Amino acid sequence: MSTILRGLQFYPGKTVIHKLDPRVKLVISLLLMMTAAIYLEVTIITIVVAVEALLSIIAKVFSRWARTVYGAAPLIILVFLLNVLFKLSMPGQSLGFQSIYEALQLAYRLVAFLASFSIFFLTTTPEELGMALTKMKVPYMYTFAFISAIRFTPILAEELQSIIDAQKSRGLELEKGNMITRLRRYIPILIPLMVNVLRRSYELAEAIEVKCFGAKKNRTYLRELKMTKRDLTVLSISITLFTLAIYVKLFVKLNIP
Amino acid sequence: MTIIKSSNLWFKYSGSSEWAIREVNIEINEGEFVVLAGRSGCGKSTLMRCFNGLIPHFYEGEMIGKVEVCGLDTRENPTYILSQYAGMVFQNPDNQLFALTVEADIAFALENLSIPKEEIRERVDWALRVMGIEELRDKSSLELSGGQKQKVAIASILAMRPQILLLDEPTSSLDPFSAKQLIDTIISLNQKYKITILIAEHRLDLLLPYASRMIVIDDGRIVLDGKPREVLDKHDVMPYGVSVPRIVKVATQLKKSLGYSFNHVVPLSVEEFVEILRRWRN
Repeated sequence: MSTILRGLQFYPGKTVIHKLDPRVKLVISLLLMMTAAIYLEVTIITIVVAVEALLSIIAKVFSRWARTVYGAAPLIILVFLLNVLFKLSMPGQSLGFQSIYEALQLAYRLVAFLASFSIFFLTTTPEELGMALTKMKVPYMYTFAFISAIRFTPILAEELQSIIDAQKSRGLELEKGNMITRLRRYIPILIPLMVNVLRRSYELAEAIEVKCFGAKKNRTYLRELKMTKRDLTVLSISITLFTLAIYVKLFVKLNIP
Repeated sequence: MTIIKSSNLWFKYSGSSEWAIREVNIEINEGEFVVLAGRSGCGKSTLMRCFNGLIPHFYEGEMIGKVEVCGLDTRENPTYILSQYAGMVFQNPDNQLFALTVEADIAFALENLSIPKEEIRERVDWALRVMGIEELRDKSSLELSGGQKQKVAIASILAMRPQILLLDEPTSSLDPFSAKQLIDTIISLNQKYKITILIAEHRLDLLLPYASRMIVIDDGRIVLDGKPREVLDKHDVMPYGVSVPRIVKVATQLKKSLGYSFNHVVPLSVEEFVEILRRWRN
């Protein structure tokens, strides 16, 4: 699981893809996913994955991207097995080549989905995400909540570790016992963590107050997203390609696997 | 000119039976450098909260008396107005920075105040320059040291261009070297930019040589108030939980054992003490 999460973490860079407006990137990822959603043909999904691979190479995050996909393997296998079981549970179905092939197709589609998400998150900073939210008219309170969640996650992780260390030094054993006793042993860790979080939130509220949060209805923004010509060009090319994909799906009979 | 004035100020937090502030009458003039001393929990922080409207607007409780900051009654003006006159910096820098870059943190208050973009840019540049942290602009606060974080926190308040800076134990989480650096920067804000400073601190030896005034608070009351030298010469501050700078102790001890008063001058720094000794020898 942690490998997948790492694949969703921003990796700084200065490539064309990084410089693209996050909204355009989001649209491209969604279009790629939708393409993978309307087709089941292995060939088409391979094309989608190939396009994603190409994008990740341009963005110089190929190895990280590949690792995400690789890290998602257990999830993909799970989806495959569930699909096989589901097919078998249907009346009149037996475990044949056809049902396994269909389950494989569905699992493969998931690869395309995850890979598309991964490129978006690998090349978009949390700030850019915040700015994109602002541009999409999301109320600032939510954007602020999102940004501070990202800001405080590592701090809370550090705090959690120091609480674990402190409780272990008082003799708490986390690794012993069965599932339930182990879970119970986490209580002396979770309670101090929660108390700390509450205390911190009070201090934060105070600091936000002195920094005039919510003082004026119309907030200004020092940095704002702006669509450039390049963004618009990339966007129109992507939409054209997607329209083509829909057209082919609707009006062309494909005879490929 | 008086910049902060409180008359017969009392405050009690809701849910508490004790008065946190008792009968505080204070007048602080423009350009002063005031050190608030006293043991933890004596009311230093509470008093500062009274000066920028956190009390009575953010903290609930019973407030008696009146506080005026730059001529504004704190009861009638919300914190976001008062913050532009009296900016507050807290103890823990981590809880004062919530954006993902230093620049965004410094711009935060200005954005909330709906100040035009060009002016925000100018003020952010100014605040970074004044605090000497221009190279940190694009860093994430996770990459910064404690001292750097606290400088960013001060810059984020300075960007509002307050005339008064309230600092609540800003060096408590810093190592001695970073603390000295931070205090030197704070001193320069007072000397170079004429910002009135009110600072609650335990590291008196770094501050007192520059402070124009020392106020000792005990149990919510102002017990001593005056020039640091006079306060330390005439009174014993130890019972109030204030640690006397070491150089003052050395001088006092010397006076006792030599029976010489050094003309009643209390040295606040090593340099001063050496000067006094030299004069005494001649």
